[in-house]
Amino acid sequence: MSDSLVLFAWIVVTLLTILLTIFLYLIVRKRKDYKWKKEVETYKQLYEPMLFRYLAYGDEQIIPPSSSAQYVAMMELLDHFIRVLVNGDIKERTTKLAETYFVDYLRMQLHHRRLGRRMNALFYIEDFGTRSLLHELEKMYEQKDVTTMEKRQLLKMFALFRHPHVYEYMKHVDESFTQFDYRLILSRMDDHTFTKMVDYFFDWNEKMQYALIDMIGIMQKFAHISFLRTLLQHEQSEYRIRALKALAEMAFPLEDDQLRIHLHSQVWQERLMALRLCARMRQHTLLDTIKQLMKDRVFSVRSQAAEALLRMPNGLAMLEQIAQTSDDPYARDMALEWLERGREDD
Amino acid sequence: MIKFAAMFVFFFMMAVIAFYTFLLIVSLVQLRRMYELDEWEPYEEMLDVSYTKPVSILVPAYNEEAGIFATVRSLLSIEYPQYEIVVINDGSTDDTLERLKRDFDLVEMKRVIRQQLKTKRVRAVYRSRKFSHLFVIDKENGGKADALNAGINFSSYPYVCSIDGDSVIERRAFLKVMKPIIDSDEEVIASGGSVRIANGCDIEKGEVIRIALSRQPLVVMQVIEYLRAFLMGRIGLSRHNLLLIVSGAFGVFSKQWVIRAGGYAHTVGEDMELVVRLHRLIKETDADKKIVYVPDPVCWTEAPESMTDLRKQRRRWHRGLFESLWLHRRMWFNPRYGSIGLISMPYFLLIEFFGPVVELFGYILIIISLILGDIYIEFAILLFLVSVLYGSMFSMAAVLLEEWTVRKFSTVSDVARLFFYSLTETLWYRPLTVLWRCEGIVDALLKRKGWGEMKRKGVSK
Repeated sequence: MSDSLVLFAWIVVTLLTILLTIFLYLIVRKRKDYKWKKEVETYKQLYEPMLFRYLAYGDEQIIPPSSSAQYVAMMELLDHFIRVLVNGDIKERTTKLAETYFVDYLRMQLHHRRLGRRMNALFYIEDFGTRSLLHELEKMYEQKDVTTMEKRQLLKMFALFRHPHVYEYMKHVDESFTQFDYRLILSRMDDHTFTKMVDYFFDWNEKMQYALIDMIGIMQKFAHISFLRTLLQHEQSEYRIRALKALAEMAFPLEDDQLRIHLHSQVWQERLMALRLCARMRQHTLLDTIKQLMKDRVFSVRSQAAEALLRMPNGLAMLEQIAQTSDDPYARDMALEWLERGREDD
Repeated sequence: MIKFAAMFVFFFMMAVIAFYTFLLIVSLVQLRRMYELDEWEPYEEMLDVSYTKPVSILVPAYNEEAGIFATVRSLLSIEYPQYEIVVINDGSTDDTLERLKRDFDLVEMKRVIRQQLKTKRVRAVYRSRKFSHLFVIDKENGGKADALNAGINFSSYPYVCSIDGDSVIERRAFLKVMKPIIDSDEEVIASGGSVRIANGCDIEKGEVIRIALSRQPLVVMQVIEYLRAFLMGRIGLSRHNLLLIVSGAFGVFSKQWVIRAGGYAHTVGEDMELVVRLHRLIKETDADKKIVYVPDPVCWTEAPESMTDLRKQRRRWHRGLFESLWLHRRMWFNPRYGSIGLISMPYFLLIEFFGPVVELFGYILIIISLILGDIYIEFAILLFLVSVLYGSMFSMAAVLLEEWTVRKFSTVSDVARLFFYSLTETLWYRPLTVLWRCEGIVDALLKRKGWGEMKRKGVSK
């Protein structure tokens, strides 16, 4: 017993010593880090007026950074400036400065063993638009141990930097990519590549397809309206719903007959999106159908129908009439709610 | 006899230590990877409304006339593209409603409320004329869970979050907590964030300006405890979708799933219980959904500074833990619920819930052995050593983990104080909390039959 007790005591004491050593190491590091941060701050103050003049007027000579604190100070400042000062000239000067001074430093950071550092470098490259590192980024993408987080960011940058093979890259992305990832990549893509993506729509996986439809609406890509219209005929309701949603986003007017089909759909989401489009367009000729939908069995459809009515030229009067005379209590309630919302806005 | 008891305590603790070590390593790897990642860049894209999902923030209020203004005001300035604030006045008997009416210029409104969850009667609904995204529901008293359910019925957005009156939310809290949900195309149905202790920090206008450590030993110990629980436990468990019960946390839930699960229930810890129920629902419907946890501190809460208040809090938490576990006892060791039934449930039951009993037993054994003297002294030393490992060492490790990865404390002296205080944990703080938690068990056992009485508890702590 006492032997094992002594052994156990030794284990505890050893662990305590280890913890204490780590503690001392961390404290020393914290002190160093504190000094380093102060140094960065000092440089930032020094560089600020100079960098500002350079970005705003382009007539300032910038001293090249030499220590890592100087690099960090300059990059952080620059990143801050382009966030608050949005303007083509400034963007151009930023890129020029970054291409001259930061490329080597950023390249080194891309190979850092810690993911956090590598990601930060990628964010900087994107913000500064340093295209000359594109080859480096390609190599990084091809590496075996690249994480999904990096892959997402890299693809976004390939799209933004108009990489000639962005389309091919997209064809081979892994399953783990989500619609949200696709949307972000698509949002940076040039029109030519985007159109190519749409042309081969049915070759993509579902997530990419949905992202494509959504982005047409979000980015108001009117060139693809006819594509959306073909989707409206598709037998799969999710396509129709998303296409209607995108059309509503763009407030594109559809013919009455076409809209009526969707307003009478069996799928409530489809009715909802068709109503949303009616609300955006103020289509007067469909009033009877919309009024009928005030009695829909789905709450959100009723609510959207009421909103569509409200948006019409004499919307308030129509809602008033429904509130008073409708034979459906749900329709009356909904009309009352939207009447009040309509009056608030006046 | 004493030898047998001492050995039991020893092996129990060693098993727990092994499990904790596993969690510590998982957390360390996880946190270290993201070390130094920019604080803003990953969230920038979420400010665009077309990509983000809107959130309804629910603020249940029962007799909170003093604090309600500050809470709502801090929420009005959070950074998120689209959200609404729904204050639910749960039949307060003080001037909570009057205060809200006056401060935010409320007018009564007509709104069709979908009765998706049954609640006490809603008397009136108000909107603010100053802030178009602020609403107040006035309802009959029904307890916090009932108030939250009423808020869910009223809310118009797909995600809900409940906030207590005594917390300060970081301005970017929702961006951080919603990120996993958006990133995963809504495969994540609940997402929680770290809670930290606000005592000692500088807070202005509902925002934490400077993070610092309180002078009060009792608060320092609680800071360590939170670090340990959130950094080690939660991250380790979340990594494998094993996270179950979170006391006093901050979380966003998918409204659709909360409604499917039946809304909030009348238990001591509504949030804790809801998380268990969601996990259960996921397993029972075979859905491919997840519950995750974000290590960034997003919510600052005021910790009790007196022994009396802390004791009350711990008793209540432990009773809440028991209720959540007992309600879902069918999941215990049940292979049908996969890793939740076989790992998480047993972990919370044996380690979190029964752990304090074993620990208390250990402390008693130490005292008895010391009194008996002679050969029994060895048991006393052994048990003391193992409890140092169990208590102090893991807390010290958690403090180091914080400093190595998240690094929120800015001064060396704060870190040093945290480290040396955690060394003393086994000597005073740990036995105290163990005792209080055991009291919580006694509370739970005595009131087991009648927890329906809890209904009228009201909202405030």
